[in-house]
Amino acid sequence: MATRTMSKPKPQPESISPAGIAVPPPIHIDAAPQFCGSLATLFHLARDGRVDLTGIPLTPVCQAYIEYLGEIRLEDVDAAGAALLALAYLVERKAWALLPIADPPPPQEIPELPEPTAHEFAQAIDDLEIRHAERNKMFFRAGGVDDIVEPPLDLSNLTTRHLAKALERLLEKAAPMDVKPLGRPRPSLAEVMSACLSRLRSRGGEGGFEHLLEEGYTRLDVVFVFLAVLELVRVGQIGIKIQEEEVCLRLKANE
Amino acid sequence: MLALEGERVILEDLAMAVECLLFVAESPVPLRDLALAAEATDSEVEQALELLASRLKQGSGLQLVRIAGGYQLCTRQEHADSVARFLNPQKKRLGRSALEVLAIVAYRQPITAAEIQIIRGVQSEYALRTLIEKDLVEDSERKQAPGRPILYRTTQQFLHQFNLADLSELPPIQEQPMLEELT
Repeated sequence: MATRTMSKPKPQPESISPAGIAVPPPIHIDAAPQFCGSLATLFHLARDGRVDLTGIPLTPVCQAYIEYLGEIRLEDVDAAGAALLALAYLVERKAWALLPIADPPPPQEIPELPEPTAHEFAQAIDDLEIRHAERNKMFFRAGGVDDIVEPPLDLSNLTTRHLAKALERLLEKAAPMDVKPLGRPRPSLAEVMSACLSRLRSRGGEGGFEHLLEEGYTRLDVVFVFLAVLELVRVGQIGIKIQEEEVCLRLKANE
Repeated sequence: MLALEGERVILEDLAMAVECLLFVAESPVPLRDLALAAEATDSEVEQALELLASRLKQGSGLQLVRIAGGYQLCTRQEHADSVARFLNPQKKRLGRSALEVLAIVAYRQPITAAEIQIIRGVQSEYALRTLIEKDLVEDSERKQAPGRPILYRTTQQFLHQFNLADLSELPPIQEQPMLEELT
């Protein structure tokens, strides 16, 4: 059985290191054959993980500490406290070391990503392409994708910048919008489109934005006419070109 | 003999009525709708359709096709060039990736976007969106799975655009494992 003895001579009362840390007093522990040395040495070895505490009985360590307390008779409380701290650390470490280690969880099986299998559709894709090509040679009364495709518009060198500039110029010239009483009938887009067409016809089928507006037009009128012109271009009733930075409109029938 | 002659006259009359219906129809007309409109039975309309098809085959620029779950009149492929010159249609071809997604949806429908991605090995959102915009694919319902993902399927427009009467006319492909096994 392990025996314990107090260190001889009496431990130094000075237990505060120059760095201000409480140093365990030189309590000698004789727990042979597992360990024989001071409490401080055992503390350092345990802290650094260089000793297996499960093989060292802590009873002689505790008894040595109690004997030490009896000897110093509370003359150096700091040293006693440092020793207690080291002892508590050892007890805690050993307690943790004695706990059964839980089995590690079984490694989760990560399912392998399936290989892409799109190549199996290669033949089907080719067949669909052939079918699509054949189908494009068949024309139905209506209802196909081709039938809803709008024909491309011939806008020559006209860009949205030209349109925006034309609108800006008109808006600058337009009178501020006068407040009309509520319930004033507003012309529908179809009505404005119709008016634009008749004005163009009266001008021989050609004209600029301004020719589509009545004298004293407001900004609201400008916006209406602008939208109507865009719609007329879209449905192919009028053509639109840029001539010397001015937008020129022309009835399609006159082209 | 007289009875047979009478039946033939009735059938020819029915064929003409069906021809009129198909002429005014803007989309494939199901057999049932033709029968209802012509006040005839399905089998009578089928006979009339056969008669109409053979008559058109003998001397017409039009042909009768069974497409997208119904019947429709269309121009003969031999005259496609003339019609195309007249109509000047803007051809819109599908890209290879869009066709690939379309084929996967067609053969594996209903299918989620994630499942399409597993099969292709690449993201397919853009191609799927393009197909939806072209009305070739639509979202049908939601899968009873975590996240309740949208299930996609092909449309009637797909059948129409690829000259298919129904999905059973899709060309067969090599059998592959079910998606559940892949996932």
